[in-house]
Amino acid sequence: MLRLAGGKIGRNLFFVATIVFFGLPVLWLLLAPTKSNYALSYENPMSFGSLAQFGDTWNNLVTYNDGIIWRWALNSIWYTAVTVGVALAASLPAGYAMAKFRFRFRGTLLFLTLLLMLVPQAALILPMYLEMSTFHLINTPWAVILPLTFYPFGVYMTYLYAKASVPSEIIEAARIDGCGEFGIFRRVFLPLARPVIVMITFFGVVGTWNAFFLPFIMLTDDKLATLQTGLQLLVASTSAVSGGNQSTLPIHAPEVALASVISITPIVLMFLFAQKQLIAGQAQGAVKG
Amino acid sequence: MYLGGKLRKQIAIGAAAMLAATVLAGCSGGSAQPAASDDPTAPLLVWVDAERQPVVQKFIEEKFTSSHPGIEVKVELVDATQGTNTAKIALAQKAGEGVPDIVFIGSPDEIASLSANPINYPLALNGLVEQSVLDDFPSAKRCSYGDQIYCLGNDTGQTVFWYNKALFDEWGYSAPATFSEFKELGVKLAQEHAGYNLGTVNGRYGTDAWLGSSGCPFIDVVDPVQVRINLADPKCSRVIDVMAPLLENGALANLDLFDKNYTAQVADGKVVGMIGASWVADFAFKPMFKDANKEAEGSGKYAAAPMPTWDGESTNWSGAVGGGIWVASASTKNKQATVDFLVGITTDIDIAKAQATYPAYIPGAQAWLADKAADTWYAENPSEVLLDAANKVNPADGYVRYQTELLESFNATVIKGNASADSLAQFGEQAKAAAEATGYTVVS
Amino acid sequence: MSGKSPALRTSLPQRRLARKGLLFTAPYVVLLLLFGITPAAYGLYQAFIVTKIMGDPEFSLWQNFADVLGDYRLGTSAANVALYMLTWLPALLILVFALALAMDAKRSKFAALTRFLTYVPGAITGSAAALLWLFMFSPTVSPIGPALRALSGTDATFVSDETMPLILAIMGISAGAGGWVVILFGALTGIPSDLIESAQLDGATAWQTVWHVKLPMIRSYVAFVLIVSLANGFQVFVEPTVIRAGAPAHISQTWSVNQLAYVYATGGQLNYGRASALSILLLAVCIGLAVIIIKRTNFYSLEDN
Repeated sequence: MLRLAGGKIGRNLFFVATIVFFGLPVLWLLLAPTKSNYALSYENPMSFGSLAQFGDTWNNLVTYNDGIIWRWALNSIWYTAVTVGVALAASLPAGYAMAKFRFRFRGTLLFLTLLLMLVPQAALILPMYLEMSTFHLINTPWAVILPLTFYPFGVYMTYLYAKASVPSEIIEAARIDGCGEFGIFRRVFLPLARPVIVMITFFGVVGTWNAFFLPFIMLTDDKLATLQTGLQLLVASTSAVSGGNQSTLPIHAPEVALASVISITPIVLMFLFAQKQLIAGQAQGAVKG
Repeated sequence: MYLGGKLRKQIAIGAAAMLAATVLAGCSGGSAQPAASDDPTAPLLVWVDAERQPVVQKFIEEKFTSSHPGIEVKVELVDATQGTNTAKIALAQKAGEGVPDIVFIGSPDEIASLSANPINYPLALNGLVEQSVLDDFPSAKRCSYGDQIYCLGNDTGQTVFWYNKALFDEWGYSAPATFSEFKELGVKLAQEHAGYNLGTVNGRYGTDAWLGSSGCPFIDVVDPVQVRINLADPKCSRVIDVMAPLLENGALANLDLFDKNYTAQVADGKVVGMIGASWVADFAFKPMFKDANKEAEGSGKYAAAPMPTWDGESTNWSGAVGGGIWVASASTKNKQATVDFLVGITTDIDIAKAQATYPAYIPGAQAWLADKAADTWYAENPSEVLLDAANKVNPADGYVRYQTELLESFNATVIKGNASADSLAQFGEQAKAAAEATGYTVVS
Repeated sequence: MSGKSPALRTSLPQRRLARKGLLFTAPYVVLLLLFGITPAAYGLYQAFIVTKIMGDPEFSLWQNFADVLGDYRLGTSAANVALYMLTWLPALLILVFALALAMDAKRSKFAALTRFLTYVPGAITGSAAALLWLFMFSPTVSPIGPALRALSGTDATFVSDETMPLILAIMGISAGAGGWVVILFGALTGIPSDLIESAQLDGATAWQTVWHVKLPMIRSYVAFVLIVSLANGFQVFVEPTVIRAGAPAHISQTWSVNQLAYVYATGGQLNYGRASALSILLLAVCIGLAVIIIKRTNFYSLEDN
């Protein structure tokens, strides 16, 4: 059916509908910072406000507390970089080994990995906090970074990829050629695994960048806050979203929208980059077939 | 369900590993709270929300440091959304580190959680703060257990009757002196000017303002573990007697005050009156007109009238909606400086004058009201009415650990059921369940 | 597997490989023990500690579980979650698989753009998400206002008890579908092209290729999507919390079961024991389903198949 001419039209219609469903909220959010609080509620929802209004919104947001928002952004960047670096270094060999080596506790390890991905967070609030307190890490970036380096999702994706898309024959052949196990991992597996590396890096970055709960409970010093928790501090105090604004700070709906646009921009850029890499990876993968 | 042998073994080993770690983890749990001690040089840690942060910084730089040289004060910005501070202080107390010496709490009911297990945070202020100062905080009575006071108020939300004086004059209405008159007014309004209303009774406006001012026992705190709940009390039924017909005919609204739909009604001038907190005019009505680009339409019209009196009462009791508080830690290392800071920040006239909402400290409120007297947005000076109401908050109310649940139940029962007698009884049952779930023994 | 001892059965290089396996996984195992097992185990232990409002905590094997199961809110929350799952899960799975397969069938620039846009809403979180969805579902200010008005018949906020599962499902799909599409599409592109070609040479139609070649090849991914989606559904938390941040009067803070657990841990009563007990019950449901899926799909097999 998909091969019929109607298939192509149907598929493109499906894509168009999808783009509208997912794109409309995004477009609204992009337009919101260009409008006044009044225009948001009383004018055409999809209209563009003005650049001058956008300038005001921008100033209201970035001048708050001497531009602490940039400090929060910087924190987010370095916490994310370190977290994802460590997480990848631990996850990639683990996922690969679980897919390609037979060893004791392999199944147990896989099961625990899956199990721990499913544990509801409410049960972990107190334990995580007390553990970090035991290590004297409360109110340091490490209380956020270390727990996030445990990245079971990355291990699973690597495991699945290695199992499904990296033929054991290639590894056997490399062994026969006298390659050491670490050499095989580095020179054979990693190049082949480029798509999955890009993917778990991307999801790792997004997960860490958007992490709210951990920095929220672990960091009380606002100079250590991430973009996500810092903005929450600002927005919660002004009730800019829920109304009941008993505040003198100039933070309203347009500023909240702008804050969100600022915080998703790196993710969006990264997605575009990752998509390129994924396609490059596919081209490379096709050679082996 | 049959599990394959291999999978079963994996689960068994996983469970064993968890169990072993459980035993190990169990050994390290629990830490005792150190009592307050006196080290006059120990630094202070203060938690505030974004709104108060600049004010507090300024207070420290310009006042506290000169009166307390050598004492370092660290200010941390926290989210004062209901429950957040409590949860964070609970963790800090449990870990025994990072506990703030002084904290600003936006939702005063949190004091009920802070002063019970497993937190036991607040410092009792009697004997540490001069009685004459405590007397100037009438709202502090609400956070007292036994003879001890555990907080000083930042602002109070005592209720008054806000009304559109211009429209009332035009229509020949007058502000009701009793709730019977309020009911008559509501009936008349619905007949003569359908589409207009006398405010909303959703959530905390119905509970804290209406049931609260009537003294209905639904949050009548006896002590930290006992609360009196009896919705069959006449002080509760007289509230729904007024509410029911007016919800029915539309003279009372059932939307949240900040619902986009209700905000539009306010800006359209449809809300001609409301039993509302001290901040309703300044921080609900005023900005709602402004956000709708109708600033002029709202200006010079609204006035405050004294709370109507409930039938059978001799005093026109007020309710209280919200109002932030400041609390000090019982485990502070520097008790004197902590108390000085707490008193300093709450009794500072300059801070009180500049703050957005009605100051809880009476001399501060007087200074604040002096500015309101000059504000031409009001049809007449609201000072006297607000000042009077601040001293008349119904003492039957207290702060409880189930406040959020209570508001949700109220909307799900009384508001949804148009304030029928059945809905009130249902509300009573849910309030009781909520109180018991949060560790209270309920008496009636 | 035979009953022979490993030493007899395993040849020398294989034992060397086993050691390498442990070595390769060692860093991850350390992290898993420190930040996975330890907190989870302490959480498990907490489930047996009963907090008293006055007096010392007590140990009890069943008290917290009894309190949780007897909570007056649990029934409503469980019913809400059930209704949500029925709306959200089928819609999500159908959409995600349809999109991934359609993108794989024709890898055009347009498909890439679609994939990009499905992903972006998931990146909008926290207070911005609350703001966004509050405006989306308020008929007077929403870009889809006319549609909402036609559905609800009023100008009042579209959010209500009846529409809540639908609204949360839309939010959940909008935020969650993009990630799965990326993963499944990635999995599909990993299928060796000669397999597809030979199926097509054998005269398989596009649908037959999907059913008999593509889906079986990504079986493990399908199982993974199912397990994690089911768990996410049972533990739905973010969407109702986001709606509550924007429109607190319209939705309970304990709308879902996981929210109830969170309220135990952070709300007025601060009862970590009950939070753990309820989390364990939730987890038990998820594990049960996960085990069924693992069994049915032979998820853990080492062979490439």
